[in-house]
Amino acid sequence: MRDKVFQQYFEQHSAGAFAMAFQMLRCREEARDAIQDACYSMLKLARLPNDSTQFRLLLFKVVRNKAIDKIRANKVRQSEEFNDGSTASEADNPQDSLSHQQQYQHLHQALWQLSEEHRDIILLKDWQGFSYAEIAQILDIESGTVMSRLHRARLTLREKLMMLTGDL
Amino acid sequence: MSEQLCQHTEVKLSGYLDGELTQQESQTIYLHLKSCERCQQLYQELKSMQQSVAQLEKPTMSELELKKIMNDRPSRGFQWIGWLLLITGVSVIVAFTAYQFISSEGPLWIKLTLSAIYGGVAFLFLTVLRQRIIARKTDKYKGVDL
Repeated sequence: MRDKVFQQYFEQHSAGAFAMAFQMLRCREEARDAIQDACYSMLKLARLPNDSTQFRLLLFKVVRNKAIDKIRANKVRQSEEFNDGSTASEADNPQDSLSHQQQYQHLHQALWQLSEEHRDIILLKDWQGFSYAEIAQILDIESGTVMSRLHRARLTLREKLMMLTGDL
Repeated sequence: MSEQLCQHTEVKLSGYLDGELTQQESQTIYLHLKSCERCQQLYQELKSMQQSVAQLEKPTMSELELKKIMNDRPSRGFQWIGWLLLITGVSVIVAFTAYQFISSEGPLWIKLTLSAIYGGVAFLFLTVLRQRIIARKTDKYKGVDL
């Protein structure tokens, strides 16, 4: 019973968690290992959350901690490029597609220029869609801190984007 | 529009964008945005940036990789079998030693004293074990630091 529920939730949410791990570690194998470690650690818990949202929260928290462990252990962050494509491929107009691609490239570059702290909070909110309260739990910070940190992060990202696009 | 109001608004702009403000707060920001072009522009920029980030591609695991992870996990069943074997083995040895001890030659008072000492140690061990198990089951912070 427990295994079935675990499997269902894990399959449901592991894709997002993998994306986060990959974004943090920038290495496919390391990200997969982080997911696997998280899976083992969660199975060892006496009690697992019995609703999907709480499970997702815990999974992200554990995967994040595993990824941080890996970063500390072997400093893999610089090894692989995160950007291996963009979502703009479906654009009809080739010129449109080109400017889209450029836009995404700039966004990637700007994101990588941010500090880990800022990048992580932006990605958790805008990329993974967590609420402030959930982000506070995942990052182990006060929920009041989330809004201000996120806002500072967004302002910094905007600045970096402006510099890249030459608007500044 | 006063600088101070803009500053006050700017701090909460992200909260407004994410729908994380109270109704009253978002009403204030909404009204300010309607009348302040500068804040409105910042808001629009943040909004479009947020949408772009949301559309960034998420790298995915193949189904095979996921399956491998799910099938590779250590089985809890084997752990139980291990514990069962260990406990059975230890119980047999303890029972055999106790039997040898009781059926051996020697004055009764020494046997009783030694039994009391062994019994006391075993009892204390079980008490501590019980406490640890209760703490493990009820501690809600357990597993937070994984």
